[in-house]
Amino acid sequence: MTRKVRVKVGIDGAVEADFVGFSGSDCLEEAEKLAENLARFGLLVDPTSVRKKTQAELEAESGTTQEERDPVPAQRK
Amino acid sequence: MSVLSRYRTKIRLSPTREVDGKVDPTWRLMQEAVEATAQDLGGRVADRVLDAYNKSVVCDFAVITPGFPRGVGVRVDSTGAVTFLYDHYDQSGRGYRRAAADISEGIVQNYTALAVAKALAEMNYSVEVDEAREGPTGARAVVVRGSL
Repeated sequence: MTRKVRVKVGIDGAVEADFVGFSGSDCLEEAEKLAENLARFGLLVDPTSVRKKTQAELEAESGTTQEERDPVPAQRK
Repeated sequence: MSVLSRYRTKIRLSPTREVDGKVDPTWRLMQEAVEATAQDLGGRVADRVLDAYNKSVVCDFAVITPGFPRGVGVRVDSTGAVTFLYDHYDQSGRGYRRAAADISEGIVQNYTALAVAKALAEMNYSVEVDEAREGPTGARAVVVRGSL
């Protein structure tokens, strides 16, 4: 999956960042790298909230639902 | 893990415009942000603003617009901190607070978006920049998209 970053900049300069297609803690590492680069360009960032995406948000990103990913029902013993 | 994060931001330029005879990247970025804001608001870039008594005050950057001809100045202090300088007083009581805020907010938003775009480009992302309107007031948002 392509890795994407979507950053929305509000009227007050506040920033909302969405990292798509990263696995594990990669997105947090990428966010740190971005913050370091921003500081080099004179923009200091201070996180105000960080939250995990909901299942619905993840499904919307990948374009699949839980049922589509698991077409075969789990076997019961 | 996928996360959504929100950040407060603060602009801090290099304390000096030139380093080793070259314009510092943060000052170049501010120049670009000021030019973009002037263009967005149908104004122009200057190096001074006027107060309510027509006294001229020199700044590091300034934006003059038809809506606020006195202009909004940008001053950078010895630590690199940025302050906006303007006189919104109006004898008729109407005031120019909103017009001045449109300019200063535009500079902050454009600077932030430009910094994000350049930082992502340095990280080898292909970058696209779009505008969006959000909320009941239709406030302008700038969306920077990067893909690897």
